[in-house]
Amino acid sequence: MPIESDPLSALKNLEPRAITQVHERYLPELYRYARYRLGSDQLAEDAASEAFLRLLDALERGKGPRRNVRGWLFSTVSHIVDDHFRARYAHPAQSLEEAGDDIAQSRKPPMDPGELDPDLQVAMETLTRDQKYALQLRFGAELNLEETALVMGRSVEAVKSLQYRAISTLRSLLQGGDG
Amino acid sequence: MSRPIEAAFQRALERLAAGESIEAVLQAFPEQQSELGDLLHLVRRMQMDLPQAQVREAQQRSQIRVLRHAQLVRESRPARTGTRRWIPRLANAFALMLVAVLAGAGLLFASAQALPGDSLYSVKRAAEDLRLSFASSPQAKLVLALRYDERRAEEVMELLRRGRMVPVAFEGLVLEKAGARWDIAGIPVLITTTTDLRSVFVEGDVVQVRGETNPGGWVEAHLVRPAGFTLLGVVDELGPESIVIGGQRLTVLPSTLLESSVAVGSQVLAVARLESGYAIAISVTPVLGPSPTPRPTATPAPTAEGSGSNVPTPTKRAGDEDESVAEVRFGGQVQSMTGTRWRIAGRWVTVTQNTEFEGPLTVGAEVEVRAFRLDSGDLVAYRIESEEPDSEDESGGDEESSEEDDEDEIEFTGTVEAISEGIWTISGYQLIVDGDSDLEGAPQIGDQVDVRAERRSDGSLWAKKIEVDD
Repeated sequence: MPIESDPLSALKNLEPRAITQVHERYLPELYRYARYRLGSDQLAEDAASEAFLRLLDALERGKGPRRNVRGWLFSTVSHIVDDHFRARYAHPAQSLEEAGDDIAQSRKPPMDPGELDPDLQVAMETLTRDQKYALQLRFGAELNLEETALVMGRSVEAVKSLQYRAISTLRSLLQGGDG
Repeated sequence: MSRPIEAAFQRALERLAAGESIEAVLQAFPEQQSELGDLLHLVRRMQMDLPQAQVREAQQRSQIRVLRHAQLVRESRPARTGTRRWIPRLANAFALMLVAVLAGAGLLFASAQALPGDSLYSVKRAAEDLRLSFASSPQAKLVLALRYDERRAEEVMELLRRGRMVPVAFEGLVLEKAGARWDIAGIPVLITTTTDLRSVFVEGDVVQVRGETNPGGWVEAHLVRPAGFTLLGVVDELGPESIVIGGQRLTVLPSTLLESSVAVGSQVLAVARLESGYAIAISVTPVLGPSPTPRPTATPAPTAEGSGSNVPTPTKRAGDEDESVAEVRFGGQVQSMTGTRWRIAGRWVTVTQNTEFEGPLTVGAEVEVRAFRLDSGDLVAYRIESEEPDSEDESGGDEESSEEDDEDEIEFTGTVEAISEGIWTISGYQLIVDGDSDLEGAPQIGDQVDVRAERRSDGSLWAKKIEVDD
């Protein structure tokens, strides 16, 4: 992908074309990832956009990613989503009217409500952080193995292994629960 | 060192990703069928089916937001002497001299430092009005008007420094929104439950604020309303004093941040503000566009093709050689009105200062929309008309009475983007295609097609006819 070559210098200059190019390349998968975890269109759009705003701000301050823009963006949107959940459960009475029904809909137990059915949500919480992240990237953001490995900074083999162990664990838990 | 079942799982996942069904995949792994079946069904449960059109809409909105933010960051780079950045200094010496003579130089000088609430403030404003009336050209008048707007904001800052409580009004960019505290043109503004917010604003919007300065160092806003708009489109014309973007003419002033790479045919994002009936370009920034094709500039007259007011008939403009330019006409309910982006009948529509509005327009209102479709796919409305339920008695016009009030029909030309299990995506529209749909010319992905569709009561679109364009 040409994007991965070196978008950073152009981005640091806040060149609109570079921003647009990176945005068009990565926003859809960031949005899917956020949507998968948040279960809300509006919140997902806000979270994915916020990741880009933070990228620009970080670059402007001379910080931000050195090479892996995609990994940085995913890490950032992941933190934004985590912060959202933390804030929500720390202040359950907080008014969220701006986001309307979407937020109301996502007001669920203290875990990623997202797209998963309740049994799967509970089971997901037993996974390690990396296992959960790998599944969210693979099935939420719809990244392939290589892309997931790049974002996680792991090898493809490691991601395969994480993925398999995660799914196997979920299967055991869900079958145990069923039976 | 993976176990056989793990290796089989990885291979099975690849086949699943390639589009095979679980059943078909399992046929290839007879020995591990049972365990693999459980795992693959679990994977299916974990997958999210998000419509492509939804992702694309989110991307378009987000792109505007991100580019606006980049503009704000860029504009904040040079050391600022004032709070506004789009206004250059331009003095009209002749007018100044004349004003001084007419108003009395001493009084005028004394009033120059007057702030809202001071006895001489009315003299200061009167002198400004006089200078405006003596402006040598419309351009000079605009520059002066902008400069006076800048002055209003500076006055507010001074009032805040002095801790005075005075009613004020000013305009500027929303630089930051942090909960109820906004930064508008460098001024801290408090949004309360009683603030009349005329729209949902985002950072980068140009707004007008009316409120009262507070000794606490902020302006308590009574009213915040749009004073500008954002435009994403293709440059049709570019001159020293104006630029036409997607059919919208914006005035270019010396202060306009116009990037040198902007040319006719560029896809650009423009931020404009309204002043004295003109739309003034604050900044015009090129963005990556799918099809930077020059488009005609004439302000459109709505095509009278079609019939009843409820029958949308997107058509190309007569004599228009650019196939990507289309006028779109459709009806439906206003679902949201967020800034300049409104959602109507499931579609995002950009409204501008040139959009004509008729009738009461609120969320939930049934309206008819006439819009341009930009190359980017964005719809820019040039007329939105509320459809009054009691309008039946209006007769004698050039429109026939509608006999199909409960059924919307839409026609457009577009590109087939996806075909899957009864749902086709054509230029962002998702259409139900079934056995009753009339398909002509064996349309394939990538084909340019003419579409006739009906909107059903649940909002979905059913393809009546899809015909490959020759």
